[in-house]
Amino acid sequence: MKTIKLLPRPFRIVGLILVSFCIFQFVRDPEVVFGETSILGSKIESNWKAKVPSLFVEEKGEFFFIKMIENDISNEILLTLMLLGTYFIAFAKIKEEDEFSYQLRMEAMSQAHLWNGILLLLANWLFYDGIFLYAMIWGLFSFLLIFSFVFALKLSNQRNLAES
Amino acid sequence: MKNHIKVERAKKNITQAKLAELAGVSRQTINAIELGKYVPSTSLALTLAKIFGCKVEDIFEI
Repeated sequence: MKTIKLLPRPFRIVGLILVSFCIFQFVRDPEVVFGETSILGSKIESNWKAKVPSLFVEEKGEFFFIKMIENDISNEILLTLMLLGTYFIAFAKIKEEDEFSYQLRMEAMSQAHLWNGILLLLANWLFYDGIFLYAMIWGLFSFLLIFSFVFALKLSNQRNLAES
Repeated sequence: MKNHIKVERAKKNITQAKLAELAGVSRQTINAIELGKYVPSTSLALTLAKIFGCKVEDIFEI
């Protein structure tokens, strides 16, 4: 049976390390999401400033489609690591990958889609102003995190069922 | 869909683990098929029939 291409197993551990590190950073300093931040307690804005291309820049009432701007990229790095980490966890092979685990993966994916939609809908009506931005940032990873959790739960249930 | 994998296993005196090994799938997969929680693909159904030395319709029925 043809299944989707998956990453080798060790990627799951790499993903767990990356996600743990990023969640630790987000919990320690929620402002990390919006820049002007620090990594592991030391202020490093100056070291992480870089010229980056930006789309749709407004400067003194003038709009630019693409413009090079100077920006603290520590938050971009953390968000990238978090996204990569969640992808690694979600799409790394499990120990015994076969057509049944593929079906569990697909079921987990559709359930995660449903739950993610419900959570985003609730966030839309429960969070306002700045907090809503945090909810939207959470929305970047929530699908993959929920998917990984539901898939792990389904696998665990199947293992328990097979043991009994 | 009903199946007689458990019966066929008993006839051949093979465990779920051994059948899984022969079919190239996990033990959880064989267990899920036996419990009717998972309907196998055509190729896996054919493989199982080949292992038991019978036709697919002898093991699976609607």
